[in-house]
Amino acid sequence: MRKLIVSVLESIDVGTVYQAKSGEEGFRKFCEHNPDIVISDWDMNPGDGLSMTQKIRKDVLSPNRLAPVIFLTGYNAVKRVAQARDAGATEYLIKPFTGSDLAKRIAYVINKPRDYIDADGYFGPDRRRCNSPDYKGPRRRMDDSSALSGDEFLIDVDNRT
Amino acid sequence: MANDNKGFRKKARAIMPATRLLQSRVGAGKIKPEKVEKAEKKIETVRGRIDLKPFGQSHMAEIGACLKTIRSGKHDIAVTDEIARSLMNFKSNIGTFGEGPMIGLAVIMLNWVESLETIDQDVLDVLGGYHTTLDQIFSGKIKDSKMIDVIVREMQAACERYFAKHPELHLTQVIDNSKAFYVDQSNYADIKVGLDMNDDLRDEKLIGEDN
Repeated sequence: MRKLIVSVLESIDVGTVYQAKSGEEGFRKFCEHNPDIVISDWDMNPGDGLSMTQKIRKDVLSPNRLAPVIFLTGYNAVKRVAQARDAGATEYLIKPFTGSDLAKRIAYVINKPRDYIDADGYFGPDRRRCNSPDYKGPRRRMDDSSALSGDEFLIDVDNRT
Repeated sequence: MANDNKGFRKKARAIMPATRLLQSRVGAGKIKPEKVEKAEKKIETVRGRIDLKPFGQSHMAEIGACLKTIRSGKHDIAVTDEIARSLMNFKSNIGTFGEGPMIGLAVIMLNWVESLETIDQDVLDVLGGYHTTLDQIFSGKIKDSKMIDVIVREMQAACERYFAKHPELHLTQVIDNSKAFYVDQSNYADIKVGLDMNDDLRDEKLIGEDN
């Protein structure tokens, strides 16, 4: 499978491809080569795709915490997508995939870079990826200034003296 | 630093604006259609040309081991993760390298296992039936693709009967590659399969000649 993915990547001229058999080896190679984009499977041992992504995002040794990580896995349940997203994945692609699927994800992460969020328990691409014009709930972002008030502030203004 | 002050209930959220650094290094724009075509061909070349038996046998052994664990009574719901992992790998491999109704069977079974919340006799029966099916197909007892089609439909019906018997469970929501995911603003736990994002992933936006 890895060989096939590498040959697909070479077909679309992505440049140098570094390979790793596990999440641990993947993170070591990430630190060593600092690649522009990471494509990761989920099921690897030792160290799966989730833990590798978390290391890329949070480990002090990580040379680029903002590197786009594209998950390429056979899991297609929404709960799995949520797990990958919460680990800091940028994109999610399901096997079996087509060359076009992979090419489009790569083009997408380059052409449409996302904001990064540093919050309690999470560092990674902004998980809020679309604007819902009909959204009526609390607005928690500092840049949602028009709607910020009282308890909806991230900073508890009531306790500040 | 805001976080050093007393009275802060939560750490302040920092938002780092999107950077164009990657674009400046590798360039941006659409991927040329001929490159995508070449990539497609790489995948098409391997399809149907790799012996799927090793994938099937290793999957069958893993499912067999899980069944044994369940039957021994020394298990918890985490065993379904192991079953799902095996099914996921099987689906990935035969979906990429193979053809035919087995792909559909793996998809049905994976989606069913991902929905399970408890393990009971009904789960054992469905899994046992699946294991027997794999055995018959990969030991060559069933070769006719029409017969395999019938078995796939039988397994699907078994999963449907399971859900009919357990109305509290719902078939897990799945996504496909034509759609990207996004998060509903009101609830991070609530992932939507986004039509808006789908629009962004349209071929003409990412594949073609740059103007």
